Amino acid sequence: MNENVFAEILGESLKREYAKFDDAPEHKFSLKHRLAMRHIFSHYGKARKEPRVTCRSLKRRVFIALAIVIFMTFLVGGLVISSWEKFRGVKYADNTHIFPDDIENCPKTIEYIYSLAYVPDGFELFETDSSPIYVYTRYKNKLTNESIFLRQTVKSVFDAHLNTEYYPIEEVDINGIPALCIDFSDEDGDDSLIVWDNGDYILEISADLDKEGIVDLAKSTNLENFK
Amino acid sequence: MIGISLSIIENEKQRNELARFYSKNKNRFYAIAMSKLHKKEQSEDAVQELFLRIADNPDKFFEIPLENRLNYSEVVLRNIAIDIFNKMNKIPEESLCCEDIEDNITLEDSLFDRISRDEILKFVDNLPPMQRNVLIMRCFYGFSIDEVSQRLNISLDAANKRLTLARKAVRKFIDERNVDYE
Repeated sequence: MNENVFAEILGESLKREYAKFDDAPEHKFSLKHRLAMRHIFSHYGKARKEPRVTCRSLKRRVFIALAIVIFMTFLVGGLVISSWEKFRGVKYADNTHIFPDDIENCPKTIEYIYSLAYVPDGFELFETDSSPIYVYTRYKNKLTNESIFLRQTVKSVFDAHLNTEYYPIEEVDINGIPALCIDFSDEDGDDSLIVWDNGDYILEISADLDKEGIVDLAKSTNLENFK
Repeated sequence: MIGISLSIIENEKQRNELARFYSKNKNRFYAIAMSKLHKKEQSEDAVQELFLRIADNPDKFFEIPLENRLNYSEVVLRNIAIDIFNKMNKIPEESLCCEDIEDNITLEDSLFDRISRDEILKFVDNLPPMQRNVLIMRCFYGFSIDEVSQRLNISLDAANKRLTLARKAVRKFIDERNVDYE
């Protein structure tokens, strides 16, 4: 017997110890926990900046939150609560954090998929990815290296930071549904983004197109099986 | 903007994998934390803290082979639960007898010769949890002691001392058994 076998024994001990939790009963997690987990996943990949919430009283947490808001207000020269027909948002100095206004009675998973009825000449399907809560499709023009991203997300998990440092959010109409659009186009090329809530899901298109082009694309989205 | 979108998508793949991992194992993690803490709020906090730590440094999590991630998370969770329990009950950090620690205790192959796997398994099962955690991280997962201290959120000194104590306990156990057989 050598240290490798000893390591195996440690692994076996570990598996044995936790085997009794294989059939752990279902636990109904508190709203606080669910919100915290949502926050963790929505801020995934960014360094943790806020203090940990472990073992703090509610009063203390509210006080800390207020202190942070006041501090940030001084720091960024004021933050603005924004509201649109289908979204709410908090405007910071360099970005706007948006959330859907209404997440009641919407699917909790992707039940059906939207797609683009057409893509501009030269673009072809490049990659797709999906999970129970989102579907992502990328089209690419291999000659120009331009891309079009279409993303469909479950409303309850959607929250995004839009770059609004130098670009205003405009409201546009997508087949009778209000959408938020940002045109980042400049002398280097076209680039824009559009986000809308179609009632069941949040749809986003980000593309190397101007505002008019992306709005036309957005108007072309329909259910995949309707194509 | 497109560049930003790509990095978001890369993150999103990992994020969704982690979200699925949470969704699949959350009841198990809660039960493990509850078995140490016996309090709902603190147990939920422990699970939350586990995922905060993973999300803080996802590469450290995703570099672990898929089949070992669950047990790895359980070891980290156990450490978190013990920390919370100690803080709640104002239990000071365990004192480690520095003067009694020897460096470089190795476990030669011959030491294990006359001891059955079951005996060693039973012994390992009964090691103090904090020492066992460090031993598992070091010997089973193969992390350096520096890595172990980061992953368990303990000081390098504490990780070193716990590992030495654990290895010393293993050595003592083997020596005693070998004497018994002679």
